[in-house]
Amino acid sequence: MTGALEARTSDALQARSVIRRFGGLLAVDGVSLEVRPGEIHGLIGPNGSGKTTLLNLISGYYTVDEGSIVLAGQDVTGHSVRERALSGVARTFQTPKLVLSLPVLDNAMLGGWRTVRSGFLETAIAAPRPRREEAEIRARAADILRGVGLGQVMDKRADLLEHTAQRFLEIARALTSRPTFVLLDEPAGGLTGSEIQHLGDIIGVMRDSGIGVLLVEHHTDFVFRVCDRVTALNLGRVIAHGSATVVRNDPEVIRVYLGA
Amino acid sequence: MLLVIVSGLALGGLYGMTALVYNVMYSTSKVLSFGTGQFAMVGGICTAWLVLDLHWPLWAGLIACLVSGAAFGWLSEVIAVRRIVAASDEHLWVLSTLALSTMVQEAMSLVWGTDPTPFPRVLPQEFAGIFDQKFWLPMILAVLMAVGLEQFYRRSMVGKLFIAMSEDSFAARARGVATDRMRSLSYVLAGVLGALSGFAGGQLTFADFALGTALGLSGFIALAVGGIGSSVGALVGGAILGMLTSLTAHYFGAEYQKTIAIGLLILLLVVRPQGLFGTTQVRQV
Amino acid sequence: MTHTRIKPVVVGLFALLAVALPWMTGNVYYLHVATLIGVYWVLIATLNLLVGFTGQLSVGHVGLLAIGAYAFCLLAGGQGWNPFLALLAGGAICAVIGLLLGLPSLRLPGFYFAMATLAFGLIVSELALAEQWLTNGSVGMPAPSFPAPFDTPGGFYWLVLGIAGLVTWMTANLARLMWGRAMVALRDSTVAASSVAVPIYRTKLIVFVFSGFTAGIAGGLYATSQTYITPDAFIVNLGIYFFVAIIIGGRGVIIGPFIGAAVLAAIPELVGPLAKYGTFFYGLILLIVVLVLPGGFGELIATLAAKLRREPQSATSIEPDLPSLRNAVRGQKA
Repeated sequence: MTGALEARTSDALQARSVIRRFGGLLAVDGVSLEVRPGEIHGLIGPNGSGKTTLLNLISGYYTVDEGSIVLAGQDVTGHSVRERALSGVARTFQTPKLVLSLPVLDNAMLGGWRTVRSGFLETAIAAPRPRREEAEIRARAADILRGVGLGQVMDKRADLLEHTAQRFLEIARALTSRPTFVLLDEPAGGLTGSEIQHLGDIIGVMRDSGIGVLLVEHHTDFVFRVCDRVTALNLGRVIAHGSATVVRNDPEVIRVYLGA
Repeated sequence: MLLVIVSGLALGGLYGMTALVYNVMYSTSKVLSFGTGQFAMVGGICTAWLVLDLHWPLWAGLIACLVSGAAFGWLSEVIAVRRIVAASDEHLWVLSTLALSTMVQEAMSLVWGTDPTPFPRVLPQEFAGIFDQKFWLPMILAVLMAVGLEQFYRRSMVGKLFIAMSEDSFAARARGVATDRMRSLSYVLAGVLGALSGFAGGQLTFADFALGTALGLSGFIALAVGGIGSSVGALVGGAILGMLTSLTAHYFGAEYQKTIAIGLLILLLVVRPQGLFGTTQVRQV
Repeated sequence: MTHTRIKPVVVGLFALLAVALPWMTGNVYYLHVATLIGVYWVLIATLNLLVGFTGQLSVGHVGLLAIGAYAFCLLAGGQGWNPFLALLAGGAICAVIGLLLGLPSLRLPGFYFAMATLAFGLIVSELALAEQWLTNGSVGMPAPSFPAPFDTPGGFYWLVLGIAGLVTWMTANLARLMWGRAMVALRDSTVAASSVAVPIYRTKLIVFVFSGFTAGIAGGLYATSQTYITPDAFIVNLGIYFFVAIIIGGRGVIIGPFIGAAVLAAIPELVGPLAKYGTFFYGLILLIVVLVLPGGFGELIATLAAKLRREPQSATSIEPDLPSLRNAVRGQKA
């Protein structure tokens, strides 16, 4: 049992005592967090608690001032956004960042870029390998789109989608990249009750398939319902972490949320 | 040799003034207009035509020159910038200002002709040499313009609003600043200053339809070297470029001016993208 | 890439017409215009990748055209090289120069990059006039012709057509396979592009070098089509024209820029006395297109086509299919 736990921990995506300042402000103050493969890890906190900053630090959009980011035992603190994406860390954004002039399917297929090995000239002459990669990625993206419920709109331009569909499309794009970790940045924003239910189901499928999910969210009910473990932040510091039940009943967490 | 230095600084004054004009438009619209150099061209040609061909008195020519600059400044904001700023694709303004600049230049070449024509003397002066006003007018005016702009930004309400808009135009609008009107005003001001620089530099550059593009490029290099948003930077950048151009022309011949200039630009942008006096946030152009 | 999927039948018909042109018209002048369209098309096709797909506003490609033209004339004419070899060499030289120009300037934001390329175009035209020992200055130099059967107007037309067809085929491949999506992502959303691991700088550089290579080849073909080149032919305005052709045709569409190239080549030849207003009108057209139709005519056509297909405007209700999602996601875990 311990061996399995250790194995999972060594595969984990970790932030270790990370500190990040903006000017004089300490946005993230010595936060440690770990996302294991096959778990859903929630990250909650009031506005200004540093949760989005932490997400940006883990995914590489911000650089850490102190501390480190470790992926499966490898220190990736100095790695660029692109390098982390190449290592299998996918993310979604608070406002979906899609290629609006492309159709839904093509947007999802973009996720498959990470697995493309064909070069520029190879592609220009339509060699067998680029054609094969394109077909594989197309099939995979289409399956995933159908899976998340966007099968009807695959040819629709992304800028014609409603908000919820755009969010799910971003998730589909992340999944097409065969990620080991998916970081979700407030995916429930603007979703109705039943849509949040669907979102939860999809995240559950991700977890069951062995992906490690970091869920940054405002909807605390949703987080406690769906997540295996939760980390709660306030003012840049961890105030509680552990299983969802434990964190939900933590007095400090209750104080911060009821007081806020 | 003294002549080389003086003419280099004079050119530098002209480039510096163009950089200042870039700054004024950039502050309220975050747009670097391709047509920045055309204000000087229009102002210069307008003056030359009115004074030399129609025999207007010089002061009237100056006023007309400034009015023409104001008009074109206003037009360029209305036509090329206003709708683009609202649109989602930020880079369209590169194309719209490029288009407008091309049209203005071509229209001038058709109406005025393609031969550079001499510019009238501003002050009565019989002699040439290093004290020729064609060198000193641009130099002095550049410094005056920079000082004037800084005072304008610091002392006047409108100037302070420009600064506010340049730092955060959304916040400015939220606080009730009439951003559209401010932007329009800044372009009019830019046009006036540009035309004035054309007036000051006219004796050096002649009234030439092709001046606009060349000046736009050189002014931009001065701007990039000095750093966007800095009046001091504009003058320093202009001076550096002007001196480099003059020295190059003297030692290597006039053909290599542009090559050296662009070489300087590329080198600088690779080493220090924000320019000498600029702030790092500049790269989000 | 769905934008406008042209049916193979249409392509075939067009190709047939194109090939048959020399037999359909005996008029050498029309053939010359058609050849010119082809030459411009060689350059614009890949410039379209740079401008329309990756969104890099390169205003000075005319400089590469010039270098390609002079290189071709010098190598094949003065040095007596085989014209085909000279053509390729011109392309290679321009590819290298594209690399040298792109390395520093592609790191810069949009306007800086545009200025840098503009400056490049100005420098090349300046040097073409000044370096008399190389270029004969304003006198210019004659362009060699290709060996038979390409030395007749019809034969040369077929050569250009063949090269243009090859380049078109390559750009179409790039557009419809994964690289095409990567390029568009780069243009529309660098955040999205880097989040899926598209190498932004490297992609821009590769596209720039590729477009430089074909510009060089277009330069050699251009020289032969004009039979004599002078620095006048490569004024900066031409660079703006190419740009306009792409913008008019529409970003990201293969056929759109072809329309632009055709307009570009045909108008000066057909308009004659009004030619001196040409640049003014190009500026005007560019301005109007940017203000009214930023996507260009290609986008207009695509939008119309979409409207004609009358897609049902139903609000999409999202019903995930969890079992297939499970399979799809699991399918990856090899």
